Formats: sequence, structure tokens, C-alpha cells
Amino acid sequence: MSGISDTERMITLKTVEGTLFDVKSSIAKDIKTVQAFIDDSDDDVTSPIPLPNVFTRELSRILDYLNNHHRFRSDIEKADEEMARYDAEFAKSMSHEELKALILAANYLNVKDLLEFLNQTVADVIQNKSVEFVRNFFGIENDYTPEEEEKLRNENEWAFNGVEQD
Amino acid sequence: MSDVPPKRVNIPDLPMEIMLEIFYLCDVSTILNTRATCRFWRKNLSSYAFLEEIARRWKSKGCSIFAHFGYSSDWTKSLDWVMNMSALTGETSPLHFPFLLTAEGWFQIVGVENGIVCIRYSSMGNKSYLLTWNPISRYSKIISDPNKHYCEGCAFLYSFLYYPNTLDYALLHVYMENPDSSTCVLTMYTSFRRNWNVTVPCPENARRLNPAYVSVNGVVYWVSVITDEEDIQPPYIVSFNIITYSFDQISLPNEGLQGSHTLLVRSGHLCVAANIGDDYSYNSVIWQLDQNSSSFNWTKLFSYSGIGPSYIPATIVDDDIIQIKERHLEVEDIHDFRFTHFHIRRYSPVTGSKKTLQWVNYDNVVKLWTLHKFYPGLFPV
Repeated sequence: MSGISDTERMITLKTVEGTLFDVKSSIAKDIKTVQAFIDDSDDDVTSPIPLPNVFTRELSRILDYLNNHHRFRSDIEKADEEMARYDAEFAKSMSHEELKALILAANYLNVKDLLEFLNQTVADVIQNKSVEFVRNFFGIENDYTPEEEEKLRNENEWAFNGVEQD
Repeated sequence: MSDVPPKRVNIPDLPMEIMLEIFYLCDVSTILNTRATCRFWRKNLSSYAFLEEIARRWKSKGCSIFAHFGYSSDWTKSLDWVMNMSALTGETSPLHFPFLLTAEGWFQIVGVENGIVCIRYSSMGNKSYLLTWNPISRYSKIISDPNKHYCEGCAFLYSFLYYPNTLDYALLHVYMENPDSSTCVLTMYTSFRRNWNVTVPCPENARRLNPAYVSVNGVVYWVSVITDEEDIQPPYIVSFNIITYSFDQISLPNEGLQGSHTLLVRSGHLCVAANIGDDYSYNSVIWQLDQNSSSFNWTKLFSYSGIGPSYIPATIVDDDIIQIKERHLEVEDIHDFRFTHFHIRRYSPVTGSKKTLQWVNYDNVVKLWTLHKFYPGLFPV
């Protein structure tokens, strides 16, 4: 992961489990929470920056995403196409739980582009799914009475079948 | 990478801000489905704040123009139709009303705001209803039509508008009690009272109201012309505020008193297009009303003119004007062969560019009755 050939300054990040990751400072710029920590420090940050809310699995995914996106952006010609292919693979590689965990990490680290992409991924996942699926996905507890639920289902049924055909 | 076993606990639920961000990206059916998950989300995904933000984001998906066409012989004909056209590309798509019309039936579009279409219709030609309808969520509500006071030759009109920054709307019905009345009566339905119990007598100056109205910030505006035989007065604007129940009168800009007037709304400001034209040339001047405390000032925004029949400004979409040219043509030698064509175009005053949205031809005398802009939204009916 470390770029030996270039002389770019490296920053070390430390996850909950204690795993250390070396990150180029140009990549760290996209991790707003880390960048804010660096900006607030008077001296050059040399010791690892602890990330008390981020697990190794999530940080490694986030860095993988950022590194790849940086690489795509440097090659303008194929950027969009390759990025789209990578993003699709990236979204597919995760279970629902992993996706949620990654959202929490991206939110804590304030990685805007990734968070937007993950939010869109969830929106795509829950599209055309049953009410029960949406409940399970987000851990929403059903507090309707069976009668109310029946009524709501009917309302929605009406909404989706209520249009006249010509 | 590490010898320390993962201290992973169950993943906590996503915070509400993130869930909202996700729901802003969802389509209509997903949002309706999520409302059915629990009380908390039903309340949140139905709130003004959520629906306003959804509407703001969906605005980028573009504006549609609903054009109500019909045969000019009689407006109360179910043979009328509505063209649903993209204000950007001119592409048309079907629009299916949530009611049926028999050959005796008819409809009129009272107004379109916040993604809600308000229609007055009669399926069989006798009993009429008002309907608020959201074509996106496909919910609709029938409201009784207060038009019990119909008298031959009496003017009446309907308007549909929202209370600012709320999900609540009002329907106004202005009518004359008998043909000899010197004043009109205004009656009002509100979505929160669900009745027509509010009745306000109109002042003398609100007698000849034009059915073409616009509304801004809880105030409805009509152009009024009093044409008594001896006393021909210049046209003026009458307004009614649905919060204070007060009428007001606003003079039109002095320079623009001749010709016809079209009321428009541009970024929350009332505008008027003063149009002069004949078959050979035309000129339209767009004025904007600036209102501070109690004074009204008209500012000339821009004007345009040209050779040829007039393009009447119809509505403003993103600072561009949708213009309509309606032409009725007759072929002299062939008995009863008449046709109509409409040229609908989008004019950008900033760049001066004109783009044709639609050319429509009909083999008869066809009129464009009303034109409305529709932005998709999820406001309740």
C-alpha cells in the first residue's frame, strides 16, 4: 500500500483493534476527520492517529476505495468507466451488515463521496422491497397494531394499483 | 493483520440523519413502503420538512407542462385532453386521471402546486366534484363542489393555493348569487377544516375576475377588467390573502396598460406580461412586482418583440418563458375544413435563445384552455 517511489508524506492511522495503516497525505485529505486532526496539531503528526470508532475491516475498505478512486482520477481517459465498474464490485462485495458498518465508519471519518455512494447503494438495495425487508434492514421495530397495519397495506395497495389503464 | 481478536459487537442502527439522507435518494414506492414500517417513520416521512426537501431535490428531475386542449365549440366536453410535456425537451408522456368521463362528462384543471393537481370534473355531466390528486404517490381526495349557486350568465371561478411553508392548501370559489348582483361572494375550503364554511363578501372592485390566476405566498392574484358600457376603466390586479382574508387592488404598470395581460410567477415574485400584437408583429414586456410594507413597485425585467403572430407568454420555468402561439386556419375552397396549430417554445431572456418544445396540429378548431407547470412531489392530498 505504501508508495515507495514517491516522497509523499505518510500518515499512520490506528483502528480499534490496534491495526496500523500508512496513508498518503493526499488520501488523508479526503478523510475529513483525520485531516481536521492534522490541521489542529501544532507539530507534524508522526505518531499513529487513533480512530476509536473505526474497525480494521472498515478502514481497509475505505482506504481501498479512496486509493482506487485516486488512481482512476489520474487517468482521465478511462476514469468514468473503470470507476463505475469498481464501484459496482465494491457495493456487491458487502453483506447488508457490512454495508451498514461501512456507512457508520464513513460517517464518523467524514468521507463525503463514499458516504454518498453508500447511501445510494442502500437506496438501491431497499427499492422494490417489502415493508418487512425495510424493517429488517434498518432494525425498525413495528409498533402498529395488526389492524393499523392492514389499513396501511390497503392504502398502499390502492396507491399502486389505483391507476386507470387506457 | 493483528493478533488481537476483533472486539466487534452488534452493529448499531444507522443514525436518523443518515437514514433520512438515504430516504431522500429513494423512489416514491420505497418512501411509501417505509412509512408503513412504524409510527416514527410514518410521521417523519410525512412531515413538511421531509416533503419540502424531497421536492427541492426532485426539482432537478425537471418540470412538466400540463396543457389542457379542447374543441372551442363547448368547453364542457369530455373530448378535451391534456398534454403532459417536459418543459426541457418537449417530450410528451401520457397522463391518466383517476376518474372516468362519459361523453357527457367534462373537467377543468383548477390549479397545480407542490405536485398536487386540483381538478373540477363531472363524470356524467351533471353532478360535479373537486379532486386533489398527486400523480406521483397516486393518492387522491374528492372534495364537494360548492357550486350550488350556478345561475345562467353568472361569472364564477376557482383557485387552488397553499399556505406558505405548510402542507395545507385552500380552494377558493368566487361566484355571483344572481345575474343582477353588483358584487361577488368568495367561499373557501381548507385542507385542515375540510369544509366550505368560510364565506367572505367581495368588494366592488373584485367583480370581473379572470379565471387565469396565479398565487404567491398565500395570496391569489387575478386580472380584473370592469367593462361597464360608459365607464371603461383600465385593467388592474385584485388579490386575496388566505391568511388575513383581505382583498387588495394593485395597479398595472402605467406603460403596459394596453393589450392583454398574463400573470406569471418568477422565483416567488408576481410578474405580469403586457402583450401587444396583431397578425404581423408582437411585443411583450415582462414586469416584476416588488412589494415592501405597503407600497407596490413595478420593475421592467425585459421585453421582446418580433415579426409574425404573437407568442403569448404562458408560464415561467427556471427563469425561461414558455410561449404559445395558437393559430386557427381555414381553407377557403373546401367547405368546413379548418385546422389549428400550436407552436410551444421556450424562450430564455438571458441568452435570447428560443427552443421549440412542440409543434402540434389538429384538424379542427382547438383551443388551449389552460397551462400548468408540474414539479413532482409527495405532498399529501
